[in-house]
Amino acid sequence: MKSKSQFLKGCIRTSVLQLLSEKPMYGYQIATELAKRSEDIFSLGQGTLYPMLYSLEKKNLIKTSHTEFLDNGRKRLYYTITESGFEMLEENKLTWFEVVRAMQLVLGTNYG
Amino acid sequence: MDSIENYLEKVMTSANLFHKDSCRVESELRDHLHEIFDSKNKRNHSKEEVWKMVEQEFGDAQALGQEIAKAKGKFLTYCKKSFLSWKSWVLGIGIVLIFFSMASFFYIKNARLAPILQEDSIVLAWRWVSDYSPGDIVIYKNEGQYRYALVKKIDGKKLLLSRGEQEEISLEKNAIWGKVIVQTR
Repeated sequence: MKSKSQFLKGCIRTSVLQLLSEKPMYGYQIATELAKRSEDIFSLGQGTLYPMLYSLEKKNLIKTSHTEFLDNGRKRLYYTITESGFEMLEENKLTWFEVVRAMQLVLGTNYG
Repeated sequence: MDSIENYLEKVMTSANLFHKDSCRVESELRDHLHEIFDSKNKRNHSKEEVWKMVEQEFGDAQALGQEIAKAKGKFLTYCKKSFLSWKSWVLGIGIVLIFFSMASFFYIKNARLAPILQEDSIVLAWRWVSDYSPGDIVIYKNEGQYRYALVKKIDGKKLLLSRGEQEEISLEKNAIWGKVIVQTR
């Protein structure tokens, strides 16, 4: 379902900003933490995380913080949130809580 | 690991990024794929089975490459590839600006100094010149307008200039704007 996937992408974008607002993280760490915290609801194809990260980076919402050089010769790039990212996160959170409250009122349930 | 490298090659071919971006993306994806591979390899599966699971989890290589290309900005990648980096542009524009603060083009409207300087020709004058010799064409400012003249004689700090048609003037060296270094004809 395309609309569900679009909706989830929006949620994941905000969740990624939330995770990076807590501490710098690298791709695999973001993907696993996201799946863990969302009880696997936000476990998209892990590769799709990268286009999202690059898009957030292009919009200056996140940036690379540092590179870790591993013993096996691999490099690990850490991302962190920017000031505009923080602002966007706060805005998204506010919208999200309003939507949840409105839906609860309309649907008359305790979901969310 | 061959399967990971093959997968990465497909992603990067499909993404077709600027070299520097390509290196970074490839290195990031490689680390992530190895992490998933290692986490799944702990269970009792063959390497082929593990790789299948990893590939399934990561997504189709070609589609991922296209998504990455879109996220990086296809136009931006095109610009980076075609026009080198923005740093080269800044440097280039800087050099041009510096050049035009030191030099300028002038259009010669009449044939006052013909045949040395033809009517309708364009000259390039260099600003920071202190060394003049007879036969040079110089540019100076008079009543807010640029004028050109031929150096006839140098007398210490003064230049005797010919404007053609037997019009001669004498100017201090420091009143000269610049010296013509190139002319179109």
